[in-house]
Amino acid sequence: MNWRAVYALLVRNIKRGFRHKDELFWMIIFPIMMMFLVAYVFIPPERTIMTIDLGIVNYDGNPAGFNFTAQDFMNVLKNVTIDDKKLFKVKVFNSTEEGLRALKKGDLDALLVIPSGFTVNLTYSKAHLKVYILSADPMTKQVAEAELMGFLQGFASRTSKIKFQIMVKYMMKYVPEEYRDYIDIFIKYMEGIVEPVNVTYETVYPERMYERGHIIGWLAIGMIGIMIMYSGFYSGSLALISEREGGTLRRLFAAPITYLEIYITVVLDVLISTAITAAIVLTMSIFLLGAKFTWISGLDFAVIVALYILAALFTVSIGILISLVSKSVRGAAAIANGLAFPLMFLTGIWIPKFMLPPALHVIADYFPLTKIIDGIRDLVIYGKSITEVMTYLPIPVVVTLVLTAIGVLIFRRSVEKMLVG
Amino acid sequence: MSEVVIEVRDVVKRYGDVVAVAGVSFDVVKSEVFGLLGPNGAGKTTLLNVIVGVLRPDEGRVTIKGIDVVSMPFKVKKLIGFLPQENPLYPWLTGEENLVLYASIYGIPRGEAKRRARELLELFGLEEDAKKRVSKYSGGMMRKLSLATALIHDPEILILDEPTTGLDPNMRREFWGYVNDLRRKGKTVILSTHYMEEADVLSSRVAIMDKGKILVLDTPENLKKSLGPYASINIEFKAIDGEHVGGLLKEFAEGGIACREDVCRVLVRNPDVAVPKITSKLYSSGVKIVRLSVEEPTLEDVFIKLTGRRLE
Repeated sequence: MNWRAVYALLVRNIKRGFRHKDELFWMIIFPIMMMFLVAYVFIPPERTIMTIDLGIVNYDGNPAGFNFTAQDFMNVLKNVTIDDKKLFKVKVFNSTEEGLRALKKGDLDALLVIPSGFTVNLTYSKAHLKVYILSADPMTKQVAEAELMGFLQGFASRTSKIKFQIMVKYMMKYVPEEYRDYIDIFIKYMEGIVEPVNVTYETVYPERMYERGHIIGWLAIGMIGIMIMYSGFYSGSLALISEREGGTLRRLFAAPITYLEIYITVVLDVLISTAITAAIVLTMSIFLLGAKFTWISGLDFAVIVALYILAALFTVSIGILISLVSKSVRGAAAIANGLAFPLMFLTGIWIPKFMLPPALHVIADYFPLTKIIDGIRDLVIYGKSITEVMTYLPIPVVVTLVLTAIGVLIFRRSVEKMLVG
Repeated sequence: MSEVVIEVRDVVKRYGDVVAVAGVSFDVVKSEVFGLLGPNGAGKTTLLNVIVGVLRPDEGRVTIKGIDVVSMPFKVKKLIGFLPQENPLYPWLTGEENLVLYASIYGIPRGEAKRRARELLELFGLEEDAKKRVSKYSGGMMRKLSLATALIHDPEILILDEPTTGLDPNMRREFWGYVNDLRRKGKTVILSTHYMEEADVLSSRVAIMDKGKILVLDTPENLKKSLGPYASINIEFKAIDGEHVGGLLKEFAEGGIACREDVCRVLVRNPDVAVPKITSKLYSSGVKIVRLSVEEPTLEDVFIKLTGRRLE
């Protein structure tokens, strides 16, 4: 093996990467841009509460002699906050028609109508409210509906508890002592009516994936996987075609070099260029975006390196297959891009599999690169053991090795064909 | 007796049904410039690709200094410096980087590669542009650097495929100077060209190729002498159908005739007699002569006599 030649060709390729602005963009700017976008647009650092533009029509006014009136209810709506952010921006209207006009114009997200008798009914009987939700865009409608519903359910639950406590107070005062045992049973039963089920919610995240930092880490590994895919597809498909179009192919093969040395150069080129990208993505993700990873052992690191090489071999092999269907650099680049772009979204490497329609899960389930990247993630994000990771890797490894063997044979055949042509 | 450096025996190379090289044999001796002259598509490039080990012959064999090209390609490739028709340069690398790259492919250590690169850049007058990217080089500079890449490992044999195609006449002559220098330094050169003047000036022997075969092989002088007592009349006329004019002049062409678009070349025994007859015939046929000259026979005339066609 002429390693001096391999090294020289590798240096040549790396210099091309750094001296061509378009290659530099894909190697450095694109992954940085994508990481910033997902980190700040799709996973914002803070929980965002949407303030609802809420119109209120109060036909009940502020009746005297009550502890809690329709006006008090309006004041609560005006002042309710979550994380110091107001939930509703309230605007008062004189009539339902006026409020509905504003809603239809898009000035409001929702309109709440408090009917006459609300205060009396709330105190002695059952109060009614009417809510109108603007259905302009599904996202806003869903959020407005959820926030209003959540608030009103909370309000209703709290009101029933207060009313129940008042009722219990009067019962204890006026029911004779000998009926107290029955009263205790009755009160317990009534408590069940007021609050039939006491639900405690607790969010459980997957192991090691409990905060934003780990999600960013997950995405950083995904971005590296995507860059390996793009780089492998491009390098594998263009390696020989670009030499032929550039007029260097015959000269190279008139020198003491073999197709295997050129092939090894292509794989090492993918590994090195994506290692540069990986270093940038990881550094930026950790220090600027707060990504968190699990500390790994030396053996884990060795497995990650092996998986990384497998990923490069797999994608370069696909690239070589692409070169079979195109005779020009432009054509091969277009096919490589046309294939990599949808795979970026469908393989579960960059967009999590659960976000894909079930029919498309099959790609993520069987695409070997997904499993290889999942292996890396399981080690550095979820802190799984090598043994656990190895359970699903045999098939991707075998597929990659078979594809690599086919790729090398096709590569040799392509060299022979191109030199003749 | 000179040492035979390259031995080509009965080489056949086919591309499907097309026979590109049809049983070619010749020897090249040490320190000789061996010219392969022929039109485009004659099979010169394919033959050179077989000699440098880029292509395998379907039949026959090539040995370089007694080493078989097919069975020991790496040994042979180290002996040969190859300049293909295309510029084998990477435009994003500098002149020096291109040379160091090729040196490394030949296994030369980096320090030595840099030293040789500097020497060659100086030899070809490119030392001031050594750190410039090749994309900024002119056509002539690129061709000189391409030749330098062929010399970077100091080979004994140089194979130059159409080395001056696309260069202006001044640059072409400068290039011829480099080839002559290399011959003086004892290098053995095979040069393919479709410029008859280039083959004439540079080659110690010339093989004229057409349709995959060597038609004749001798020194340029002997080849020209083989024409006999012929002179060449070159007639340029106002563009009309060259073939039509060829038909009119056929009766005067004792040694052969070849026409193309607006120029015909006629081989005659006695130009003093033939010129008035030719001008009269063309005048009476309404062909307007732009220029007429009587010249010594060239290698192109040899080709015309053998094939009835012109070289370029």
